[in-house]
Amino acid sequence: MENLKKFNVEICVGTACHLMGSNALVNMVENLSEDIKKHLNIKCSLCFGNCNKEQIPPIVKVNGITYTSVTPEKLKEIILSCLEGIK
Amino acid sequence: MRRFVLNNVIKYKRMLYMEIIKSYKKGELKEELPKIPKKLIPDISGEGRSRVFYEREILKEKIKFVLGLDYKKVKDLELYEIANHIEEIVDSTSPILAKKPELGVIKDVCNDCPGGRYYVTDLCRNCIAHPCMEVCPRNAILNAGNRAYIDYNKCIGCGLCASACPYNAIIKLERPCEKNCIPKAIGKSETSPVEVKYEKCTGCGACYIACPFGALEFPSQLLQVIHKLITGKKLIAIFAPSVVSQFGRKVSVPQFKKALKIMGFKEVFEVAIGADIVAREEAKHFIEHGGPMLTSCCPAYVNFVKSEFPDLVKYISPIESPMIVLARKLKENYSDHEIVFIGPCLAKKLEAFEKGLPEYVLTFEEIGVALAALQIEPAECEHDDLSEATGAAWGFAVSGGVSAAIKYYIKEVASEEKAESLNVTVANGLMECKLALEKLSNGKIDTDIIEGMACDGGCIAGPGVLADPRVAKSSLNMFIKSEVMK
Repeated sequence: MENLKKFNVEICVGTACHLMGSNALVNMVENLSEDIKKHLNIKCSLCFGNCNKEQIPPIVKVNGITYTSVTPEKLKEIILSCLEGIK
Repeated sequence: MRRFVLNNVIKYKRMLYMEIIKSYKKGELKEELPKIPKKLIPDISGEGRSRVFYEREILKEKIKFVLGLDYKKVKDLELYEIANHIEEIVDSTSPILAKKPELGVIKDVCNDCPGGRYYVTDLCRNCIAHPCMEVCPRNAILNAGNRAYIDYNKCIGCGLCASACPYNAIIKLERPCEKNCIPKAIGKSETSPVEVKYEKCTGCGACYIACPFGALEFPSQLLQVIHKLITGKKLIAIFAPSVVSQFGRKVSVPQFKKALKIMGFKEVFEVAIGADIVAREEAKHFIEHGGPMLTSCCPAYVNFVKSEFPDLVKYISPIESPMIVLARKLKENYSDHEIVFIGPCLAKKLEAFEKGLPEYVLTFEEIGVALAALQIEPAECEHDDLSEATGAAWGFAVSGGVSAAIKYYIKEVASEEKAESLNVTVANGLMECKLALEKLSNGKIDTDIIEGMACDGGCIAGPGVLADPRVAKSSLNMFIKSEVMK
């Protein structure tokens, strides 16, 4: 079996991010096609503490980079561009 | 069931609440208050610049509701003027605080949407048949500019043209607030773009959900509750059965209960306890007095019956709602504590005001922003113990659940046969309530119980929820199976 290249997608589901729509992000990621999902390590994390540093929730970390005020569309774009990078 | 869409109006409101609570906690609210709109909506350059000022103005007006002020008294005040009274506002002594928590209209924010008229859209192909013209009883449709055109001096708004057009090119434009207000309590007046007829308003919050500009608001008591918690006052929290899944998939009900205690509530109880008492008492009442009986747990439904169907008021169950029943019971043992109800409902604010207790009513949304602002993560909390309540009582949160609970208790206080022969009408949403009540009023329905819920789907679809009602419904069913029935 080939060694799959994977990267981390950490979605904050703490209260502040939940209030600002992290649930929609989780749903979007879970409904991605298996072709994309096999490259992702999806993790729902509790508060990264960033929203208290004046960053706007919901907050997502992809490949170690923090993104703020994320929408499902934006997250999909980020994931797809990371996918391009590892191929 | 109501489709829940997290939009910008909701997001801005939540950010506003979080910002205000955070500033309050840091002791900087007085200085920060006037700066909040600019902080949340920073300057931008290029396109859309003028919009920034409009959106800041919206936030400025919304802050007055977050602080719990009487909008009629403060609508012309600037934030720096209000900031001078902030101490009296947080400790509930200010004369500019709202007494009655009724729907407020922010006229400056209202977009004065057009509505109530039929419009010919670009889809019109100026066809040869023009059934719109043929069908119009007033000859109000002309052919102008290569398409059909409605002469509003003649149009009577019958809608025949819209139904006759093969392209669906004629539509009725309705104002979102008016369209969703079943008792027709909101609308344009001669002097104002939007006005509320308070004698008809049930407080259901349908207009508040519907308005895409966020021009309708209810005054909040959140800041006052937070102040009491932080200053160590004796408060008890009671929360509605619709709590399941509201705070995300990682938060269980026992963890939420613990989080409230960490916030500073001395005791926390489930309103499901009250729901058990209500269902049992209503079962007894029904056995003794017979039907028809109208359920009394949804305050907006009760208000609707009172204002629209005064003849049917005599059928409303005399048992008070679970919130009130539990609050009264708690007052026996905790007479020196104040009670805070936490639920999905705005009409409960009015109900509590009219009954004189509980002292405070907050929504899940309000308590959610408070948890976030105070940095309490329910998902990291320990599991508290839940009180004894039946699955039937937790079911109050979903349309159909109240009548199912009454049926459950009729089995207990009377007999299985009596429960099985029960003829229940479930009215889901105020529109269905209206239809069922009309039938009852005309004697065209044979029913024992009309369970009415003003929100489409029941309490889980209320205006103050955080979770999608569909998710909440399936989570609640799972919770009842796994936690309560175990």
